[in-house]
Formats: sequence, C-alpha cells, structure tokens
Amino acid sequence: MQTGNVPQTSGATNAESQGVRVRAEADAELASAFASGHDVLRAMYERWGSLVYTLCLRSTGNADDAADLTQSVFLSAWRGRSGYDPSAGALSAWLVGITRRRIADHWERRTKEKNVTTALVDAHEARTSPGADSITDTVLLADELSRLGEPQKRIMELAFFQDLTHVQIASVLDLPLGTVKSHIRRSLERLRSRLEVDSVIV
Amino acid sequence: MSSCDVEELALVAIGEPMSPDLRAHVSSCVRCQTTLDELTSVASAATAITDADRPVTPPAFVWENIERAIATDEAARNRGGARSGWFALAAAVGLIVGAGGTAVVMNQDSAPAVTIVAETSLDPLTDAPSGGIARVEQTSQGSVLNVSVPGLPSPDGYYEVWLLAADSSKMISVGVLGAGEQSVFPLPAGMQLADYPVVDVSLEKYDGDVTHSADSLVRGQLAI
Repeated sequence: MQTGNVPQTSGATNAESQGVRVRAEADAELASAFASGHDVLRAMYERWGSLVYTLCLRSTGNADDAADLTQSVFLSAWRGRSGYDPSAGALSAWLVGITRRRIADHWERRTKEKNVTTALVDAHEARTSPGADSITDTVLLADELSRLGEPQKRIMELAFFQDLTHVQIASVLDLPLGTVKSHIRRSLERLRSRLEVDSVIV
Repeated sequence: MSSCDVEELALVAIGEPMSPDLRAHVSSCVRCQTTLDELTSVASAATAITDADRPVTPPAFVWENIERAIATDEAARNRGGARSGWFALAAAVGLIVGAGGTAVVMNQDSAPAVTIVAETSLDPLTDAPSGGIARVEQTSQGSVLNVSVPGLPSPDGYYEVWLLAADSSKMISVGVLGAGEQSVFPLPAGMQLADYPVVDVSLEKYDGDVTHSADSLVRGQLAI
C-alpha cells in the first residue's frame, strides 16, 4: 500500500499547539476589542487579574496593598484605554507595565512617609526593588506554568522542582520518552515566549 | 551529531548532561548557542519559582470596587451622552432612588443613572469669566458633588472646591477641580448637606497652606 510521506505529529502535540494558538487569538481579540473601546475590562480582569494581583502581592508582601494596587491598575487601564496601541505590544505587556509603575509609585510613596516604619520599609524595599525584574519574571512564569495543560504541567513541575531527568519523568508518568522530550521542548519555548511578550522594561 | 536538535537542547536547559556530540555541534553553531542560552535562562528562572509566585485570585471586592469606580465615571459621563453596556447597567444596579422632590435622570437607554438631590448655579464673583453649575447627586455609591465651571482660565495654582456653611463659619474641602469640563467628588457619607449648603470654588496657590485662600471665583447655594 502506498501512502504519502506525511510528517506525523502526535495527537497530544497537535492539541497542545492548537490550544496555544486559540489562546493567543483570544488574547489578540481582547486587545483589539479593548483598543476600539469595547467594554472588555471584565474579560481582561478574568484573564489577567490574578497575574496583576500576584505581582502586587509578591512585590508589596501585603494583601491590602495588593488589592488597592490591582484596583488602581485596572482603573488606570480603563481610563487610559485610548493610550493603548495594539501595534506597540501585547495588551498583557501593557497591563504588566502599568502594574510595575503602580508598584514603583507605591514604594516611592512609602519611602516618603517618614515614620517609625521607615526602617522596616527600607529593609523590605532593599529585598524587593533590585529584584523587581526577577520577581516579574518568576510570577509571569508561574502564571504561564499554571496555564499549561496536562501532562505538560506535571512534566515541567517534575523537571523544575523535583529535578528529575526526562527518563525519570517518563517512568514516573508512564509516558513515552519521545512524548516527554517533545513536551519539555514545547513548554520551555512557550515559557520563553511569555517572557519575551510580557517581561518589558518600563 | 551535526544538526540542530532543540529537544536535546531543552533537556540540557533543564539540567541534563550534554553529550559530547551535542557539545561539539553547539560549539560551532551560533543558532544552537542562542537557543540554549535562552532556554537555560527560562528554565533557571522557572526553577526559582516559589509558592509566593503562584497565581493568587484577588478577593471578590477588588473587582466590585473597580466596577463601582467605573460606574461612577460612567454616571458622570452619561449626562453628556448616553452609553450602553454593562457599566451603565452597573451604574443602575443598586441605585437608590431618592424621596419625593428629587428628579431621576434617564439616559437615552432609559437606564436610570443618577438622582439629583440638589442643584445650584455657580455665580461668578470678582474676576471669574463665567459661572457654572453644581449638583449633589445620589449614585449607587453614595452622594457625589458634580461641579462644572466651563471656561475657567488655566490657573496660576489650582482650583479647589469647597462646601461652606451658609454663614461661612465652617467648611469642607471637597477636592481639586479637574481640568475637564466637570469634576465629580464623593461626599462623606455622614455629612449633613444642610450644614454645608454653599458650593464655592477658590483659586489656591502652591503655598502649602491647606486653608481657603479667600480668593473665590464662583459660588452658589444649594436649595436643600
């Protein structure tokens, strides 16, 4: 029997790349709807609210401050929506940029408040500010990791946090070696592009 | 090995040993070097993820506050032109309709936006070019003072809005008048409007003095 020499891809890989594509398209749709002034803030909040909140929580170490800052980020985004230019970058990157400015403003205000907590704040700031970029990156990566499907998420958790090799992971999860290798590569590439898109220096 | 194998590079990036063949290839392939550097830096950043970095869902009140603030924005804008959508709807939800003697403003979508509690024209004093209008409105978020004084020149300093007792014996600073056509200020929930019926806009200098400059431009008394 003659068959065409069609490149074979596994079903899982296909579904995975489709999932990524669908999500990227959904993000792009959200961005263009937002830019044209549609009331999409709720959808944006569903999509990125936990990312913004976690960035604020991680950077301030205080749930009340994180809640205030998150409100202020989304209000700024809404009120400043005419300033968003889709051709200049992803909507998520724009939101992350606003978040980082709000966090910077927060610390600036704090250091100006001369009171007994100054020393405490300075100490916290020394711990957080110089690493603001790496905090953003680890929170972005944790967010993207949480959005991986299975078994990709489990595979990457075992690789990153249990320090298992792909052979060990394949054995633990009872998956073919090739599948595990392919998932590791694709997931790492997906994490890399998330950082490329959103980890903007502002 | 002589070809670029990203899957093998990805394994090296997560900490697996590099085979001699792969090492030989990478040492002569700029593209693989770049890929390996990038994937390694992503993997090492991911390894640094702690529980504190994991996504946390914000408490429900965060969105509620955002919605409320935007509804207030929208309510203010609705007087200029009707606007559909969930913000207008949100503005309508929880609306407290005032007792007799108040008017309900309907926008063109027939959604009740705000209730006007009291209103006054703001009459020019001294050298103000023109007057304006002030309204106390009941919104779903409580009372707000909506002040519009079109045509004010760019100030040498800033314009501040006050509520004064009828005899000017006491006053509350409501806020700084925005550059736009109108500004909306939230009023303290416990304030008795009858104690502060006079709306006053003053010119303030950047002198660090928080008290009224005594340089009033427009003024009007709310009929309460």
